Amino acid sequence: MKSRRWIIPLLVAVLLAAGCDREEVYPTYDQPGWVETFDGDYNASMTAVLRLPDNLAPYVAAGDELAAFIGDECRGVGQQVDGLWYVMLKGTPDEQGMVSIRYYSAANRYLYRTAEGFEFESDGVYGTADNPVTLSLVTQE
Amino acid sequence: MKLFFSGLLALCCVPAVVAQEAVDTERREAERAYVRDQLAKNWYVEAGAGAQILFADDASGLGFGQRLTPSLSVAAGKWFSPYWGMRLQARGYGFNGNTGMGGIYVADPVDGLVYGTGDPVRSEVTIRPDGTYRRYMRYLDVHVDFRLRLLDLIGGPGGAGRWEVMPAVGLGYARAFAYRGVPAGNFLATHFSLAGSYRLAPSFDLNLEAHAVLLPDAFDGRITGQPCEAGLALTLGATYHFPARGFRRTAATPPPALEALAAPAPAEVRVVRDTVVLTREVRVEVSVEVANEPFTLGVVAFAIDSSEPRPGQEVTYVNLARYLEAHPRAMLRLDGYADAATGTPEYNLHLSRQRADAVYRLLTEQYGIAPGRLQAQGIGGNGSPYDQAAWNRAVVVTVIEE
Repeated sequence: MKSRRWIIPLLVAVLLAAGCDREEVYPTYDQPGWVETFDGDYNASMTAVLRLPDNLAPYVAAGDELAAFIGDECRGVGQQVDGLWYVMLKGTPDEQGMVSIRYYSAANRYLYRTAEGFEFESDGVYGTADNPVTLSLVTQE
Repeated sequence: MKLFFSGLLALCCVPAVVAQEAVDTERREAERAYVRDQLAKNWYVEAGAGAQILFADDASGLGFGQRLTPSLSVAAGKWFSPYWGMRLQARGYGFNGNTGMGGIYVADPVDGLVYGTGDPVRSEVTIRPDGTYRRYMRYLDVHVDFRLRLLDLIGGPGGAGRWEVMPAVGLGYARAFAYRGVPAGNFLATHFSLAGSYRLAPSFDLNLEAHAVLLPDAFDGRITGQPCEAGLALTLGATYHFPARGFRRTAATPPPALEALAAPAPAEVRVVRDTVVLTREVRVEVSVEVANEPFTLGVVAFAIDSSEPRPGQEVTYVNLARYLEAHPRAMLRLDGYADAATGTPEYNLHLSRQRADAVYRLLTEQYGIAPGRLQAQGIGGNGSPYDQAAWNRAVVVTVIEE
């Protein structure tokens, strides 16, 4: 029996080790500071009214940013009013690029983008104050 | 005249009352002694360590490994009979929960009855990109268990040998500590457990226990509307039984012979010089059965395949002789054994008899022990008293009567 006594502390150690776990770590980003930096002559516009998904709503903070992009060009920076984001997108009347939304969560320093974009439409409306579009966001790769 | 007979009757009654009081006093004293004896026996302490897991709303959002946390327990208990006992156990350490969508939070009271959606845990832990996060809980639970010895219940006391299975149910008080945003709180906890134990030594058991605890929904500081939260722990531990372990079949009442004290005996009444003399003979035969359980007094070792005791065991023989000298009514039983690992059963039985006879001769011829105080028998290789083969090449000396 003496030769098998080492099994007891070994089993206890295994059980205890199984109960220990490390803190999770995810990539974080600095404040992007998005501004409209287009060079072209954009005389057309489109309005988007957006809201964050429920899983991110609890983390809304003062430093949050939201902006609309066509390609890598920032076409509009959102303004947050009463939990809704209002974005005035700029473009040309015959613009046909896909618009993607990027969102920065200041509370957690995560960067998100929309999984699927929408098409720019001159004088078009994407969501309204009464019926805002809920964003479907994925983390920035 | 009437007064005289009344006085005579009163005098007759006095000794009977005195005798009855003596019986009651002895009975109460015997019962108290029995209760004291039983209260002092079959206490144990135990400690265990292992892992535990929480079953709560959204907890499945964590991986199995992330949900496991250490579990520690200490306990003290007593077996009140071969079949049931009580245990006071303290257990705890931590749980890993998870927060997904929804819920209200105890740490965010809007008023006395309504809670809000602000969770202080969010500022204390890592928030995942999808908005979910882990809840780290620290707690201590103290509860009282009612335990059964299942194998003893089924097979009779000791019927399962070294193994035992012990289900239990209990009620206790769980204290959640303020830790990483989870608020402190006190909760009623219901416990269920199933333990298996193996007796390693007369005082030590190894035990493996599965333990479930049911806690209120608000235990993790979050209210989601589910009936309760549950924790499941698996711990490996050791139990130390204090030396007074086991149960004897002892009557709980004084010996029946004491009842004789209560029976009125015929009295002889005489008048001597105007004095009434009452003479009563009370004869009490007290037959108290003394439970002398056999116990091992010594072991005489042999070499393999040898019926001659190993040299250098003289101190054992001297001790045996001294014991018999000090206890004139004692008798010894010499049980010869052979290790079952070698030899056929028939040969081992023969060898064990030879060993018992050798010790018998040695004690009677060289140490002057009366043959009538010894019993020798060979048992062979079956029913070996020890786990190690070499230890079973022996004659075990047991005191069987005193």
